[in-house]
Amino acid sequence: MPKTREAAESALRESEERLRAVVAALEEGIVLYEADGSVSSCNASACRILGLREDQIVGRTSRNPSLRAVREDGSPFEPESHPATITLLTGLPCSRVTMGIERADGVLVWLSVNSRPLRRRGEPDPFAVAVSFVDVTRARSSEREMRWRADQHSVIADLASHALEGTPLQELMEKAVRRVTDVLDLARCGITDRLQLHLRAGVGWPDKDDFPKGADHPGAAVIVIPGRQRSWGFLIAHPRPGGRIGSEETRFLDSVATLLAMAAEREREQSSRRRTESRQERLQHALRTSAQEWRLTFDALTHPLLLVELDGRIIRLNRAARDLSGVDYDKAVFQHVSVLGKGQPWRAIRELLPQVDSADAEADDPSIQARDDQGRTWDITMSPVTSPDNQKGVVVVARDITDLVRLQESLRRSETMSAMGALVAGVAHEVRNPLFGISATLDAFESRFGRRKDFRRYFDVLQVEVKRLSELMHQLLDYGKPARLDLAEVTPDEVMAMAATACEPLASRCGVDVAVRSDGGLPQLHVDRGRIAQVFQNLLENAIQHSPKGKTVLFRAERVDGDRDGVRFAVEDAGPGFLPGDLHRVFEPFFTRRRGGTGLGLSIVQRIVDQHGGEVLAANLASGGAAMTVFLPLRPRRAGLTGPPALAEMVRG
Amino acid sequence: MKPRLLVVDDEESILSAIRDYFEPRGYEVDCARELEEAEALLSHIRYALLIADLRLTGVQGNEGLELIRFARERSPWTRTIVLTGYGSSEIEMEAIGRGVDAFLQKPQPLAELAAIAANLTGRDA
Repeated sequence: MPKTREAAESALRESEERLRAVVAALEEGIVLYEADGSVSSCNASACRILGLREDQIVGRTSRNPSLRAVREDGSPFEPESHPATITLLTGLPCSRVTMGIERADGVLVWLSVNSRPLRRRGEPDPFAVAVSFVDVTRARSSEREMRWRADQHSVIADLASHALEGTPLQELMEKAVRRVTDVLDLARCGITDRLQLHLRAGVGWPDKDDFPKGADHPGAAVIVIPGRQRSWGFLIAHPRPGGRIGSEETRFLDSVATLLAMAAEREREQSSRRRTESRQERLQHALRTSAQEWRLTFDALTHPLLLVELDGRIIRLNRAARDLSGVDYDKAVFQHVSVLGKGQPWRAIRELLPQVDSADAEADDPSIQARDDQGRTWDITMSPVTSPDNQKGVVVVARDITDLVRLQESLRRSETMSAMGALVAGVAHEVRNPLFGISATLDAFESRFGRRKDFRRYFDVLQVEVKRLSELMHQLLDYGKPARLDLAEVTPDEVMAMAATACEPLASRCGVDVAVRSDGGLPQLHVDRGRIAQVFQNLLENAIQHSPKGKTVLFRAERVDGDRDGVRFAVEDAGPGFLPGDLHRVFEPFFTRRRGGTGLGLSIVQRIVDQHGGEVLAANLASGGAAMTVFLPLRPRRAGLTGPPALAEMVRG
Repeated sequence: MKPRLLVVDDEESILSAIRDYFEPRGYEVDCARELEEAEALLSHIRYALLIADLRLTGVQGNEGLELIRFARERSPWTRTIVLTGYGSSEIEMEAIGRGVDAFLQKPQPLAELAAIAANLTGRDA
């Protein structure tokens, strides 16, 4: 067997030497890193490219102090992001990493670096990393040059197209300065103001004295902007410290200057033509421009806007009107406004149009508010216009004022509330002391004489009345409570359960069932748990009290996605429902049709829901019962719209 | 020995009603209408329970809390109940922070007040 081993070893040696010879002859630099990050070997090309001897490379790590590695933007290339390090740590190869090496002799070479892990069969971690690189310095510089030329070309092309399109000279000059500074990487660049001054004066010939003095602009390139007879002015380019402007750059600047000269010439011609143009022509031009601007503005408006004739034919409509109606421009123009739809705000526009004709010119423009079936409130204004050729028309603007209306309502309520809340809470406090005097005396009296049958019925009456008064006082105080919410993440099911449990005794006394149904998976709400539970409790109590014995009150909740995300709760009873005329009054304080009711329950509900940025609605079910709906948003639309001022601070005792 | 009870309120009707209700239930009841009077009594007599209105005739409006602090320092064995006609939770928090045993809203049914008092003084109602 030894023979075989020798043969094997020699074959191995041979193949290793062959490999070594191949590697040595490669144009590419090859460096082998051990698992500990040190270099175990390198080839001759690596030495040549890096400008180091083999012994200056082998045994070192990627932190070799003789070499400073930089990135393309000039920042240092940290050893941690060296391809060898990355491949060692991750086992993944890196390809075509561009790295600049500042050699010890001061030459900067650019390398394109690849790294490959070397693994032994069956071992996941590499035992070494082979890094290969080629010198791309020359390729890189020509690539840069190409890129630079391409940049210059694009600047010239861009400026030329602007000059041809008739971009105003001032704008063109600013653009040129910006682009030139950018592409030549200048410290700054300028154009002598004279150019603009002379243009304005209608001449365009700077004096000799205007020529910039070399001393004023050390190191700067001064390029003449040529004129037909004399120069227009000068383009002055200041290089960065250490930089310079060579012939290549000067040629580029010359092209820019020529373009500027072209544009200046054109502008001068135009200004002299303008002087001779008739007033009529200029007016027409202005009108054309303004018509275009107007159309753009018109479309940019977020409110639906129409221009209609008095008979209701649409002359124009903007994008918002098209979006809202879903009717295309072609289908709408020259048609009657009724093509836009049957609902609001279109119906209100149709109805309001006849009033415009009869409207007195001095009177305010007619306006109307309409609510569409999505609950949005529209404010529609009509302004009569007369065109120069005496055509009469109407500009119709429909503004979505839903938020505004909500805000106003809530503000009005909270104003009423703060005035009334203060009074009510003050009275309640003053009443509670004597009320306690009465109730305590009654309790003492009863405890002494309660056994006497002839007194009993008097006690009963007094106790019921005292209890009623106490309840009223309690609610009044609640109503006047300052709006300070203790907000927390709350699960809807949890508050629903709280309220339902609190109502159980009343429900069983009345022989009414309460069924709680929720969608499941309702989102959490950011609300005051106690207050919202009270809202539901008040609604459930009302529903229970109005339901006939043996019936069921349904308490349900569902998720709402749409204009505002949130949760909608509904309490539906099997009672007689609201009288139609009462629907808008049920939230008024002290409004009640139930004997013994305080008329504050729903006012408190509305107040608390308001404070949460939600909405509460009273309605009748088709089946006849009452339905109270509470919407609570996931995110309150606004904060701080609270009711009465801190009453507790004013009257606390 | 009967537990001794101090009731502080500026309403005569309330004082007499509470006295008439509690005396037959085995308490010895003293009454005070002002802060100073109540403090003097607390300094000399060992009370099992103090029932105080939050606001007495003074101007500052929460003499009841003042009295609770006095009782905590000078008569730590006295249990305390505060009654108020003003349902402000800030005051309630403050009162509880000062070691009040019970904070009750007026008008409080005396039967409930008696149950709480019995509980605090370790008696059967």
